[in-house]
Amino acid sequence: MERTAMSEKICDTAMQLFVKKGFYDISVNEICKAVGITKPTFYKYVRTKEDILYQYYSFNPAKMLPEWSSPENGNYWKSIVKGFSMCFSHYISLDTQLLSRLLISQISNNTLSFQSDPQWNEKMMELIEKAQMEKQILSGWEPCQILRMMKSYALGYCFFICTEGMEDHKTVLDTFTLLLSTVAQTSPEFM
Amino acid sequence: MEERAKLITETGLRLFKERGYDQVTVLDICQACGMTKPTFYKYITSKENILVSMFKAKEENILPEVQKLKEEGKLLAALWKGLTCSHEVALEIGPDLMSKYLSYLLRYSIPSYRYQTSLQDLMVEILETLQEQGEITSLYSPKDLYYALGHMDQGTLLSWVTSSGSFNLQKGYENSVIAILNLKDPSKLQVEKEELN
Repeated sequence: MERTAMSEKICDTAMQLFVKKGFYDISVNEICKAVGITKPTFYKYVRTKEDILYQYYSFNPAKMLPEWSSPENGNYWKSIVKGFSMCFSHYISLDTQLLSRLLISQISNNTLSFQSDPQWNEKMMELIEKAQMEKQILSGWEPCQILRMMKSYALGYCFFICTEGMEDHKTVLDTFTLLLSTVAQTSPEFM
Repeated sequence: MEERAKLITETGLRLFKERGYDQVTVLDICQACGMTKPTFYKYITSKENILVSMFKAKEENILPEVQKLKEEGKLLAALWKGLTCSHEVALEIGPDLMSKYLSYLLRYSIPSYRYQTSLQDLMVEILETLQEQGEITSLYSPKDLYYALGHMDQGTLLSWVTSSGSFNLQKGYENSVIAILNLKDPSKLQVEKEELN
């Protein structure tokens, strides 16, 4: 099997098992058995169980850029919300235990960030600046500061969901968006 | 906190700082305190609990402190105090140990003292009054503001620990508070904040 195909197969199978039985209760042995490979083969493709989580949660923001970054009818705020929501929805797409585990490993190796992709960040900054010029965002702080604050808030909200539990996805996502607008001081007419 | 429990906490913290959290065992702490393991466990249930108890002690006192500041008419100080309950301990233990504590909260899904508590009611009330007085010019509802500020605090703490404390925690959060609330006169917050220390 081709390299990427095999690691994808391992990840998909493992994620299904994690969701069904919980991250901590699934051993590498069980994953191997479900995929039909040996442990040495497993370790040829994946270093640790956490790596599987990284792989699942890291998607390619550059590929998704066109989906959110061109504003409709000049509503820049909507694009910003879409860019944030796409990342956020992906994080909450599975259960909170897996998201917790992802946060824990990112905390321990100091790589935690709501979105670290340079292109994503650059595009966001551009949109924030335009939204400020068009009085869609009323906050007078520098675009880079607003972005940093929005990302901090978003990270804190992910943490909140992990520790307090999650209502249905729609409620969680609506609240996420509403509170994001308090950070940027979005003008109500553009929300 | 009881004498013995205090001794365990202080000794544990000292050892964590000297050797790193993961390198310290319960036995090490017992030996340093001159007590047996069973005695240790009478006061503290686990190694993690040393950190947890430090935060608990602060959280238990926060409500009356905020209440008192509010009654004295120091609303911005009361707000700041209630929002940054964990900063003092975070700064005392440092980013490395703080990251252990945050991981612990995640691992065991421990809900925050902030939400659905009397503290929340009190804080929302304070935000509402400050809004009526025109100090807070953001038009969002006091409850939404409270949640946004809470998430912001947690997010700021997370960024602080994963950047190994590369920025000033209090200053960084203060800017976010000013931004979210759109304070009419940010210097007032600084003045009332200073008076707290």
